[in-house]
Amino acid sequence: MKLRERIIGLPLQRSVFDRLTTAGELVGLGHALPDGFRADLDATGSLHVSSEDARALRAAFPRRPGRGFVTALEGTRRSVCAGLLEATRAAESLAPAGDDADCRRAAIDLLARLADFMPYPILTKIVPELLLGALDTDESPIEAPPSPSPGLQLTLSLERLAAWCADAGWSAERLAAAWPDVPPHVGSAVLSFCAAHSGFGPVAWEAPGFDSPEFTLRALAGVARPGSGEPPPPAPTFADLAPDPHAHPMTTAGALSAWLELTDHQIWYVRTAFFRGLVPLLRSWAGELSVAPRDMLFVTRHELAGELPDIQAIDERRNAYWADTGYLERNSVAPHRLDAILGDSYE
Amino acid sequence: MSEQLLGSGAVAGRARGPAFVVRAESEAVDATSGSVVVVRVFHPYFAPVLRRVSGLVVEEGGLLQHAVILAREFAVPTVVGVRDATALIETGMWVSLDGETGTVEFDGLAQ
Repeated sequence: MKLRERIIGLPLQRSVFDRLTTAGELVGLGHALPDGFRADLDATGSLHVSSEDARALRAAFPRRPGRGFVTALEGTRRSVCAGLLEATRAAESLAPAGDDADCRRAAIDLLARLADFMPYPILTKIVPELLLGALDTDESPIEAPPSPSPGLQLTLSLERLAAWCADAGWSAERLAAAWPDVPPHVGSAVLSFCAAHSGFGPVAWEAPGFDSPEFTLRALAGVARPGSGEPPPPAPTFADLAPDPHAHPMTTAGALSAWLELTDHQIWYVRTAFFRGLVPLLRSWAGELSVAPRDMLFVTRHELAGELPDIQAIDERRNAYWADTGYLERNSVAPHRLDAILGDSYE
Repeated sequence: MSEQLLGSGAVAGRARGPAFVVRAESEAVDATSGSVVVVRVFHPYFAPVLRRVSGLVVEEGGLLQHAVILAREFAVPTVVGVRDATALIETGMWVSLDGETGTVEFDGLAQ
């Protein structure tokens, strides 16, 4: 079954989808799928998931999950999510001043943590409904979904930025017309917002989201709020936006709440790891290797950990990527986009 | 003559407005005020548009997805699990939806 069509184009991001087969083990149901969970990305970047294996997982999931099952389910989820957050924080704190070897290790570790995490977005299509069904046969109190959701947090933050810009005399229309030629304090407010909210966007890293000033200015144009007279909005920190993987109790109701929170944050985890953690490390590593930073996106995580392909292979992958106009249009990838993300520290 | 589609009512309430069909990822942010957004999957980063749209039609099913959690927070009438909605409805067509019964009607291009 094709679950998502042409969602991932960059070879580096595709390579973190290589552990999807572990989905059954992650929820303590590996015995139901002895050959692993059949899911993969095809050559066009479309995600395929076996309906048969999804049914097998549903059938094997206990109708009344016991304490041991929930503890194992949640222990693994907490560990994988916390591991990815920690690797992202570690990467962010290293680059660009860190030792080269430390930066390489941090990038390889972060990519491995992403690969461990990637089965979860598929599992969020299955597990929350099963946990809800289990609650129906249980007497546990149901917790309300976590609120405010990340989407509401983003909206409030965008509205604060719009109000501050309006007070500073910069309507969304004026900003869009003048960008990037705006006063430094206004530009800085927009760029800080983008850096803080880079986790909000499509699953494909390079598809523009709130990491991009142009995208953010389009979103600002839709905010109908007058100025508030408040001071410039402080950019939220990583800690303000990151979910706490340990926040919910190890009960069926707690697990449901945690999985709903994960459902809302799954793309945030993936984009934040890229923009805040990986990009600075790749930029620094590219300089060391004397390759264009954007070309680091055309190798796989295993090649980064071992031997890099030759320039000709990278050229072929880059050309194939830019020739796939269907993917580029679907994900709104402009010709300058990869350079805009990774900068041009080498050329 | 209007056409009818059926999904699952996810957030109660009725809405009517011109459709804004999202086909490329980044288009949702441009949804017009008062429109009914028609989308395959509604991601959390689309949330700011929920302040100004009148309704939401989502192809993906499931009452525990982003769209439903968000639309409840913003009190936007929503129908999910509407198969082929983005193929059958075009931007500008008038759409009515009932977030309780899960019915979606569309009836030609907006004037």
